[in-house]
Amino acid sequence: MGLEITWFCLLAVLWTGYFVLEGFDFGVGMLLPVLGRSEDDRRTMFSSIGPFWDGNEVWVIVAAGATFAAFPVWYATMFSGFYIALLLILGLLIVRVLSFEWRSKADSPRWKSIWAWSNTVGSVGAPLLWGIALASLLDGVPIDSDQGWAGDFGDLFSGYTVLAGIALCLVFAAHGAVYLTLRTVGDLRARAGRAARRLTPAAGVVGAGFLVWTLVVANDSNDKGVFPGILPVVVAAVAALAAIWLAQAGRSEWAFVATALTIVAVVVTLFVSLYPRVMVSDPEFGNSLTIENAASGGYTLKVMTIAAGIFLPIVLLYQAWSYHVLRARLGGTPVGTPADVIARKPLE
Amino acid sequence: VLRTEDAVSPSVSTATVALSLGAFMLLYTILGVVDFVLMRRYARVDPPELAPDDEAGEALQAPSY
Repeated sequence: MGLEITWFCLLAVLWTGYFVLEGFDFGVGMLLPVLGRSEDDRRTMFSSIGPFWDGNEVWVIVAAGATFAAFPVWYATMFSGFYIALLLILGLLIVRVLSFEWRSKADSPRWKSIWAWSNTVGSVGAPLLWGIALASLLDGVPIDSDQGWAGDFGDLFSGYTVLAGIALCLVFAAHGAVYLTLRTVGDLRARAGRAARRLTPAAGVVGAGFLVWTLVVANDSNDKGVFPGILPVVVAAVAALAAIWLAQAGRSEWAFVATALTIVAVVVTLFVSLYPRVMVSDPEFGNSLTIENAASGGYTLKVMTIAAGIFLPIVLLYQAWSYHVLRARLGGTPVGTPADVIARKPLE
Repeated sequence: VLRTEDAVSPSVSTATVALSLGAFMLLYTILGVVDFVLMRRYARVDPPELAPDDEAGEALQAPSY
């Protein structure tokens, strides 16, 4: 006991990192058809997340890897049970990645349109499925007495889990709109600001519904009281209200801090509601996976803790540095794309 | 010894595994063909002439999507 809690908390940190960071690049992808009116707009939007999305995405890979090493039973049951969902997420993420790599490699409008849409589809589909999958851990899924998955793909879906997916999408769209106000100039920035003013209240309302429902589900399915889950819910509510107000006031920097903090509080709410279980079993509650019956041995956890203590700060440092280096606003003078280079188009 | 048959997910059916394998094979085949076409197109173009001054050369290095 002890290191299991450490790793449960570290997994919450990893999922938080993933959602706070990839959340805004998903959001930018979702807004491509809305805010990207011209090719220049769309290229600016792609460039605003182009150097970052892959670093952001690594957080989820580390989360999955850490689950494998720290909670192998959880990993085995979750990855068997979520097989189709994870297959779909992988497919969506692969098609989305292609848009960053290939969109600028040819000039035809149809080609560019295909890859802009592939980004949007991936940016909506992946968080929708993540929300459904993660919420189903708390909502309850069929687990047999051998800790194995005893359900099918349909067991992931309920009113609560689908709302989780929709709430996640809306929160990311708002987060992405605020991010764009920080990284663009001129007309695109003004439109991103308008989108942020509309999306923050919408995300706030749906997100609040999701958080309240989470407390109810934690109470009904996971034998939890309202306390302590209510604490991160209050933090989320205050942060969301601040985000709405700051977005209306056009204070982009602080609005971004507020949307990021809201996402942190949402992930913390989910993990606090899960604790001490990691995968709630329904209908046989006694078969639920907990941080103790799903964890690795003490030696493994000790080695992992030392490794994480050394490398996590290094990762945080170089990721922060990459954001600092590439902080300039985009959308001024266009720079040459690979397609421009082979067409010998002179640089402006 | 942990045999493959002991380590397999009992809840994932053969049909599901076949479906995922087929999906990845199809996806990566398409990606391979598109990638080949793109690489051939770029390989056929002569390299751009060196810019007379350093400024133009540096501008090209900015990431653009």
